[in-house]
Amino acid sequence: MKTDQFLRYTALAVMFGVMALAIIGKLVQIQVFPQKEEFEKLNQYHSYEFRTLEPARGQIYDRWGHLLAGNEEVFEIGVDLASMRNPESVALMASTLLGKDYTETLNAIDFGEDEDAPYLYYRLADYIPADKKAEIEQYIERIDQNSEPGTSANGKTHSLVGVVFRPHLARTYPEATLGSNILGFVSQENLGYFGVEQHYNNLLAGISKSVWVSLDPNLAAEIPETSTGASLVLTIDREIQASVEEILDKAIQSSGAEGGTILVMDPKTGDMLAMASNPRMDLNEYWRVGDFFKTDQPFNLGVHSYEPGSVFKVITMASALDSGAVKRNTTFLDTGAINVGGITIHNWDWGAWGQQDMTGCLQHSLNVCLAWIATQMGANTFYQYLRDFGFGHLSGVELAGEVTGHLKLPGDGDWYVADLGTNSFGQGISVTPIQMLMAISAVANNGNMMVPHVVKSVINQDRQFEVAPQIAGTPISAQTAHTLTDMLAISLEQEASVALVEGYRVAGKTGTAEIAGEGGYTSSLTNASFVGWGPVDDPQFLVYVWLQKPTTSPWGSVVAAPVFSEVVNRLVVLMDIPPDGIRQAMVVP
Amino acid sequence: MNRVLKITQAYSQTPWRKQVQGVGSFLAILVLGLVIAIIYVNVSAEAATVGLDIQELQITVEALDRSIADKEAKLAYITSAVEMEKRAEKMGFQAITPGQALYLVIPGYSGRTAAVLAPPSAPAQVQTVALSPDYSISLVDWIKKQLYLPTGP
Repeated sequence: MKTDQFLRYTALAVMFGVMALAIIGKLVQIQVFPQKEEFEKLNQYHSYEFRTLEPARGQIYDRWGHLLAGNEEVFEIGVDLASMRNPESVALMASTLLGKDYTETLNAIDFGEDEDAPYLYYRLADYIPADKKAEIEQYIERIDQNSEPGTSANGKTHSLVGVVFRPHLARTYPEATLGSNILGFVSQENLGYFGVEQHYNNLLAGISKSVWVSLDPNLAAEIPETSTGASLVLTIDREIQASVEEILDKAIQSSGAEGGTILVMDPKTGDMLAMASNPRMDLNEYWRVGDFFKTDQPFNLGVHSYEPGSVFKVITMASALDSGAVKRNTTFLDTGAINVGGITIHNWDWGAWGQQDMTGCLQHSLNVCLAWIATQMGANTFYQYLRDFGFGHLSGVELAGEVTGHLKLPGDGDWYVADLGTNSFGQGISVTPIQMLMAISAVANNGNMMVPHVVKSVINQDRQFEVAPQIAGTPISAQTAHTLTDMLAISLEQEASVALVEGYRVAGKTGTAEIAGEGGYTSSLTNASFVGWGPVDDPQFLVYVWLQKPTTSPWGSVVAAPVFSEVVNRLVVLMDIPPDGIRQAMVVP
Repeated sequence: MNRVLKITQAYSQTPWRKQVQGVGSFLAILVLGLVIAIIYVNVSAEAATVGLDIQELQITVEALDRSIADKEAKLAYITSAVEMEKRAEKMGFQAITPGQALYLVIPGYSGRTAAVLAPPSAPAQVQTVALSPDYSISLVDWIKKQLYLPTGP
């Protein structure tokens, strides 16, 4: 090898060596650099993305699988400030299509040529439906294709480059107002309000995760998975609910009532088949809740308390028969007045009905007779039965906003002996329709009192868990239940009540309760109620009707009883219940 | 001493051979390094491609989940109680009264059953082995296996 060649190769080797050393030196320097941590943070900032993983909210179905609450795809529209070309075009679009204030938007996204934006992304609007998104996309396409250079007010070319859409799910209610009082609604913050949505908010919402997600494809497997929220299958039957809501609305209109509720339960299982309440609202416009419900107006009357009036006599009579204080054929001489604890109790018509058996007392709804029965039982026995029937406690129905009502007990500061008399016919005690339904389920179900429930099953992690019917207690014997059911069926038949349903034997009781004001029971307005069940030999439905302050007639027997009849006429068709004669003939021996 | 020198001279190589050996060794190391680098780059590239595929599939899965939920909601809107009633009326159907219903005994029919919406449980997965066990056992185990193989008659 010649010397000059050797020198050349040596020089080249030295040069490469120096370069290699420089690279190694730089690598070492980066590792021990004082700003190493800052560089690492920068690296993490750019190679990771902070993402909140929101699981899809669980869906809600009726008992047959009809979707009552689901999720639809909506879009967040925003602008990526780094790629945005013309802030004026974006502000103009936001003002024209999204109804945003032009100046406000422009100030939020325009930082001039030299100034760095304090944020990378600006949200223009959220919860944009798919059709609106398509309209905006068309607009963007038109602008980006047809804009002449320099036509914008700021001298630039109109451009909507940088406008981005981010899809996500939002709650939607395909049935709009149907069952709205049971379902409740979900806010944009994914929080449930009222009904099932609030009661099961955590279960439906699932668990969201906030994580740094690596943008490095080599670390793609590290993205955590989120399980969706659990879905619920309700006991509600959509067709029955729709029918009952229609009947309730008509009844309110025809009776001039302020509001009302109709509850339908399967007394054997506690399944709530329908729970209509008025007023109702379109859940897709939940922000208008204040337009439908005033500050003190309950969202669901079915779980709101009131003085029930004479429908409560069913409970008093059940307690008396079961305790042995009276028998079915016990007679009572009604003189039209009775003194209990210093107050004189009269009948609803201020009349004296003479000698009556217990069926007659119920048939004519005699306050004096029922007050006498309560005194025969004694306060301790009477109130023990009321507690056994579940009054003064939540029923356990899975709905937010349920109240306990108010049951005064002997020994309480606000209880007087007179309360024994008035409570016996449903005055001076506040209960909820759902509590009444639960208590009376004992009468309709061989003495077994069922916990009312609206959730039939829960679907979680691809498995469906059935909610088993629960017996809340057995406050009365099966014998008492059968006797009372027969007495109430006879009382309706003898009264030729408008609650009767052709072809079906039903049992029931009307109720008319005066409404207490500041000065006592001075108002002429009432709460009209009816509770009934059938067919009496094999009860398959238990119906509770409450109309608030009807104006055409104050009496439950006039305004609430026909509502029961109409509901049952629909129920027997929707539930495939043949008339008694046919059903009994069809029974296979 | 002369003898040692003679032996050394006899077995020593010529300078050009030493040079060739040096260059050869260097090239061999270089080629080995290159091969390792190529394999590394290739595997890394494949891993990155698979990673990108995973990211894309995750985005697709999310989009499909949203689309399924959206379509389910749309279907529910067009089959809502109000819409179905309208459609039934348009087709000439009327709501019946209890007196109009005809009841029949159908042996074996126990009535409508409540919705079962959870996906059916997956069938038991059959474990299939793509690779012959011969390739996954150790040499010692393979020899033992061959030695204890049952012999024919």
